[in-house]
Amino acid sequence: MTIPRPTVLRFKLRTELNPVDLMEYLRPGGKILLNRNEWRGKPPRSCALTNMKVRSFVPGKRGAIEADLEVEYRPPGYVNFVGGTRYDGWTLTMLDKAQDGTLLDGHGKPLPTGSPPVYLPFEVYDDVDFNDLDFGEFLGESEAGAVRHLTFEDVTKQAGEYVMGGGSGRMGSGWTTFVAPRRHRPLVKVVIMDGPSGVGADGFGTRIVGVNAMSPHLRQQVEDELTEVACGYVEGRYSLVTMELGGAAYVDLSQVLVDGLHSEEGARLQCLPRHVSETFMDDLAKKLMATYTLDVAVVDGPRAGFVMRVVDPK
Amino acid sequence: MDDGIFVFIDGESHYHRSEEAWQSLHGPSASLADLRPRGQLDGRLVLVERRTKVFWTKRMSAGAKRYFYLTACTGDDGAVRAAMQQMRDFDLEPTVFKEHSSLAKQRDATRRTAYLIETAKRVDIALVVLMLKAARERQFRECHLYTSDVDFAPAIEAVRAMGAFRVTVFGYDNGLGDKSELRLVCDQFVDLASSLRDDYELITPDRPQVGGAS
Repeated sequence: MTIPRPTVLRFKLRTELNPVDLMEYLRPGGKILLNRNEWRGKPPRSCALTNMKVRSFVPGKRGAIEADLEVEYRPPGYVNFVGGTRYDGWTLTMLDKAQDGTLLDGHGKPLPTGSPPVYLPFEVYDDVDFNDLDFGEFLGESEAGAVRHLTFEDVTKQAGEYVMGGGSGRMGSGWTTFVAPRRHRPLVKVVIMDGPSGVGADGFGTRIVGVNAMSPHLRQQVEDELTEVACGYVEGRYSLVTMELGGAAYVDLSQVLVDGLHSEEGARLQCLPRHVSETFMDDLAKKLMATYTLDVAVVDGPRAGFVMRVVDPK
Repeated sequence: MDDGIFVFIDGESHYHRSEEAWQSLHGPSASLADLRPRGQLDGRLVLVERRTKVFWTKRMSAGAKRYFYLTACTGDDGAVRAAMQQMRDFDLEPTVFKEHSSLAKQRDATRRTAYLIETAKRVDIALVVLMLKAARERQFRECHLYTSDVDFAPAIEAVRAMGAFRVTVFGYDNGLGDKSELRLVCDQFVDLASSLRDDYELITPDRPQVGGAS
């Protein structure tokens, strides 16, 4: 499945307006507006002016000013997050569920077993005809905001370079300097099992999150648990199998999920792709980046996981 | 340098002024809890919590990166925690100061008798500190401040003086003079009264809401 890519279109505008009037012209009422109609080959409601930098303006002197404008293109199908809120393109979406948490089908009825969750769309942005606005000279369009993808080989190569540079590159679950370490930071396994759902611990202190295989929305439940595990790792509550990459960490999510219904090792472990949606890793990466000051790249393949790097907020 | 929009909300001023504006549009008994974005009756797009003076909708400053909501309330720790959880679930980053009920009553009386909104001083100072700290660390390129309190003018000037930051103030014209400092020190002043009138509607018993509002 191809995930639509967001882009940024850059413009240079020369205008006689002063910055205050320019703001009112491009952002009336302080609002970010979307394109009402097709504009530069982009479908309606997929573009918004998100950044404007005014240059060469002398207060009190009226004359041409220059402004750098950036228009963000977020195609329908491109999922992104603000905090915990999910957006599809520029449309806010909310999981359809009743107040007691029961998932609904979009028409007020309980979601049939096995059906994917339904997200209800809400439009929170106003729109205007971009063809009527003067954005100035078009400078170019470049990809932006997409989650980087790596292979496990890319990760080991990076680790090798780090070791050559004097780093230890050790693989294990004990690297806790990534966040403030807790005294107790257990490893976590999410196990799909015959028994009832619940949380327990094995003899080594590993936190075992059991998910009943007959749960009506198994995929959603597994995704929720994996999201909790990933957030818990970043917050220093849980340990996961990681590899230190010099300021970054490879976090192996593939080893978290265990399919307890299969006895052969290949089916028991590395079963992540079977139990999550195709877009899950991308969505989770975006959610993590929206919540924490992190840069996250997705590692594809059987050793699916993330490469996480703490971003300096400055 | 980050290129996002940060939103700072002076909770009490924003809540009371919004309530006044809403009541001037729909009558003295109109409640913010009965407000919905036009054509969208789902209650999950609006957060109203009277006790902690929280009023926010998903349309307000849509597209911003972070939303800081600062307010004060009376009550026990459990109530404060519950209110903060509710705000977090709505993607607001809350700062809630607990204050003595006598102080809150005194300010409420001032508001009713002198039509003057006095906000808790700790809230104002915390908001200014938060805003200046984020600006100093260059965490945003644009700042939206929701207040109608002219006391914030020096803080706005300070943020703008730090460099390439744009500050937009979202407040209520009513009560501010044409030459109010609050209007003059920012890059753009947006009157929320017109937004309440144009972008929102009152739900009535014959138009039941969908979803849950608090």
